[in-house]
Amino acid sequence: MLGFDHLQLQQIWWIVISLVGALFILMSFVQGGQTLLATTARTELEKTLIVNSLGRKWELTYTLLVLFGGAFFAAFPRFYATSFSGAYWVWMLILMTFVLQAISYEFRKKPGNLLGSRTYEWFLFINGSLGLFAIGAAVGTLFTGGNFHISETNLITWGNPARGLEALLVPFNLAVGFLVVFLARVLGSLYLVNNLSEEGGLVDRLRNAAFNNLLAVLPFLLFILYRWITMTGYGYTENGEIILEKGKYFQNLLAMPVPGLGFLLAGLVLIVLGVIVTRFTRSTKGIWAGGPGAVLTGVALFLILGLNKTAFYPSRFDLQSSLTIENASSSLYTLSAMTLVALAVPFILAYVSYVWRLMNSEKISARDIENKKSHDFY
Amino acid sequence: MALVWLIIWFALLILSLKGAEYLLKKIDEL
Amino acid sequence: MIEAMDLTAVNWARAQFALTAMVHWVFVPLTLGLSFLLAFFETFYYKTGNPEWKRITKFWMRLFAVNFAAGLATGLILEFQFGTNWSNYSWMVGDIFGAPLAIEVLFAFFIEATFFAVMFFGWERVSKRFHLFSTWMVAIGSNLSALWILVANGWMQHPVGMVFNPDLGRFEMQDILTVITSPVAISHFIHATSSSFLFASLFVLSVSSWYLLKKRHLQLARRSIVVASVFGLAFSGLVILSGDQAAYDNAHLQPMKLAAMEALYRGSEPAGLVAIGVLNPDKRPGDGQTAFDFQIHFPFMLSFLANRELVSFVPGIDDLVFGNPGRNIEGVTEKIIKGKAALESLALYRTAKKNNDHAVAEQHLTTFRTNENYLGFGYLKSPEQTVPHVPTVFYSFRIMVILGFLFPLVCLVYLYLAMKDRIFDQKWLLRFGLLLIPLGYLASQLGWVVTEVGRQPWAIYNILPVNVAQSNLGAAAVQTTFFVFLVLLGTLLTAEICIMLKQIKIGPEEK
Repeated sequence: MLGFDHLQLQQIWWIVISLVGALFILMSFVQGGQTLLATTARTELEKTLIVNSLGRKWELTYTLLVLFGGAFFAAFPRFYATSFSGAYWVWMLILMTFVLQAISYEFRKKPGNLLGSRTYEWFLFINGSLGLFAIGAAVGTLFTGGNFHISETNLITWGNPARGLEALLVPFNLAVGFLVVFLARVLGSLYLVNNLSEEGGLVDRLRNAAFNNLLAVLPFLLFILYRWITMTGYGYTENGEIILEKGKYFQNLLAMPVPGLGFLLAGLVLIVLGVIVTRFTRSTKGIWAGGPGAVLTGVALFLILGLNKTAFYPSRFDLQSSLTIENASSSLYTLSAMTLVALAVPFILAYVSYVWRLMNSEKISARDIENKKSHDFY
Repeated sequence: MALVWLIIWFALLILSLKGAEYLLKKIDEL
Repeated sequence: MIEAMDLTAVNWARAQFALTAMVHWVFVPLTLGLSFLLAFFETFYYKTGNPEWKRITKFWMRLFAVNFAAGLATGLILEFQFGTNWSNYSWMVGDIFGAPLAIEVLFAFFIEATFFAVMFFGWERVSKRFHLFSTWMVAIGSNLSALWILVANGWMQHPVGMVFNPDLGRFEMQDILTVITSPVAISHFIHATSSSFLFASLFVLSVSSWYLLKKRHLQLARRSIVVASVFGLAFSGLVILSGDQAAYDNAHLQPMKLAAMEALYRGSEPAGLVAIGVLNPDKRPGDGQTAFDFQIHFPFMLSFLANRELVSFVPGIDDLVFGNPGRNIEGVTEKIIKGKAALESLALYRTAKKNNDHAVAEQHLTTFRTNENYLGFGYLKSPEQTVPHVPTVFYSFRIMVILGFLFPLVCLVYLYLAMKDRIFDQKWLLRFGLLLIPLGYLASQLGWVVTEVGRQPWAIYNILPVNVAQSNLGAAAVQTTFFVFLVLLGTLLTAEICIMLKQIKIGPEEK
């Protein structure tokens, strides 16, 4: 239909998924802010300020998560079917925390909300910690592998009774989980510093939080980088046979010098820059470095997962069941049709950015909250 | 045929908007 | 091809999907319809500059926001659930089914997510014009969402535009336009949105009735009633027309569903339409008993509904199960035989291919292709399995239709009295009006019950039975998540209702 062959389309769609995943990491600043709620807000007003700042963006993050799942379903349905049904408890856990998040912004301050505002704040905290952690660990399993066997008749069997929870026993997965949670807190701090008006001590506390959480990210980041060099990765040959390759992911970084190693390093530098600027100056523009930095890092992370003949969802249980972009994808027709659909993405990005600029043109201040009636804000 | 249904759907949307506007004006409640 | 899986697990998976889908559908119709009503109210504000219209808009918007959040929370569950609990389905038909879902996110969810923030929080941040635009975009985004979901569901009911790939053991899309413009998809979209618009109108009428009974916010109530009743009245016509179209489609594309809706066991020419009836609880297909203990029917009308010809044959359950050669209807037993042949030749084809035995493989492939349209039947054990649960489908359909004809009358009465400014003293009507919300919810849910229970045993009609569509999980796992969802969604629903009632009690902001 489009003049691309099947492999090219599979690569294009892995790149699309990488971009979506990276944007999700950026937008996880919402989840980060949700945990910062507990650690930096000291008064009801401060809590409400943070909730209302995040509240204008939480649906975008949510929609990105949905898009991530939907893009996998449409482009790599075998992954969607295998991972979601196989690692059943992990996906159910992630799902539950996001269901709780979805109602918490709206229900938190409403009279008659049955559970009290503290409970909904807890839900937000759980979503930002447990939920995001589980997503991180799930991404980790794309490197370390799941435990599945796919039969010739397409029957999916998960080889571990913990159905996905066994991922928590693998240090690499834990590291990705912690990295994602602490990085989200870094991004959340940068975003809130940019979006909240500078009154009281809240913004100062957030500036500190950006730095402290970056320090928390470092050990996990270093561990992950170290493991990318040393861990056994899963590649595949011309005829689709899955093979083990030591240091595969580091090799992938080098094999794609710009979008791999380049984006990774540039991304990390930008994140650090954003944090330094936020912590050590009075600037509120840290997010403008940290945000794009997170996207670049995320793109690099996902690209080395699936390109350069890497199995993006390995199986420790049955090596040859491992999934690659070539054996897990939709048909040539479907990928072509979806690629046409994806031409709308720049347009979507345009209107989202336009509205973002409009809504963020003024910072959120205590006056905004105090002036409005209780039901006009979160 | 699908197109016909969709056109009717859109038309009814506009009609209800205009219809409501007209009736509200009639009772001085616009 | 797929080994028979745990039947108990399947039923828990079905129960879980039904539970989560029905809870989601509590919130969706109000979102679809009230979003347009909000757009109407705000358009009047924009045109007149009268702050009273802003007050009205913001009041209904508050209720909208609570409902909208619950809709988002419950919708996510469904997107994940195809993968978690129906992995075989996801693999076998994902090449076609995944696309409309992904498109829904790109084309509808992003619109909703982006513009909701402006609509709800942007009153003082953006121009009046852009705010109005945003409100309209929320309505358009939500309804676009419905379109893509109904394209997906429409494809389940009437699979088109695909071909089976015997090497990969899955269906693959051949023509996306056929899928998108499928008559079933479009007529169901029209029907689902129109009925949602009607529901939202009933909701507004009901809440307004309460205010009138309490002698509060009389002007807001009257204005809201006028707008809502016009909206509801206009679309109730389309509800009925599209419902008729859906039944006509059923007759040709899903005759068993229509037969079940009518509890028509013995096909006849002409066939009458049962208005109300009580089913014989012991009736089974082919046993010769009467289907009804009592019924009132309109002669000729089922023939007319099904074929648009007063004297025409409408097949009954018995014809469809046991066959009727005189009417060119193949019995299910024959279909099962062909289906099993298809499954067998598919397995033999794949073995031959693996052994590089190309000539033999070619032979088996040809046999397969002859029987491939019966592939799904190969998984069935008995012909009676093709019959959905008749009482559920029959009674649900009737109640929905009766309510569906009642609602426009209610809208008409409300409109007339509101125009004459006589609605304040009609206590009898206003008290009845309080029942419109539960009645509306009932009709709304029953519609989905008819179409989804009516398509059983099929996940994809005539192609993939539900029993073969599920994930390879034990019953225990699904039972656990079923109960977790029950508690979670029960709490969510209760909280949402409490908040809505409280917000209604509080009422709009002071002038």
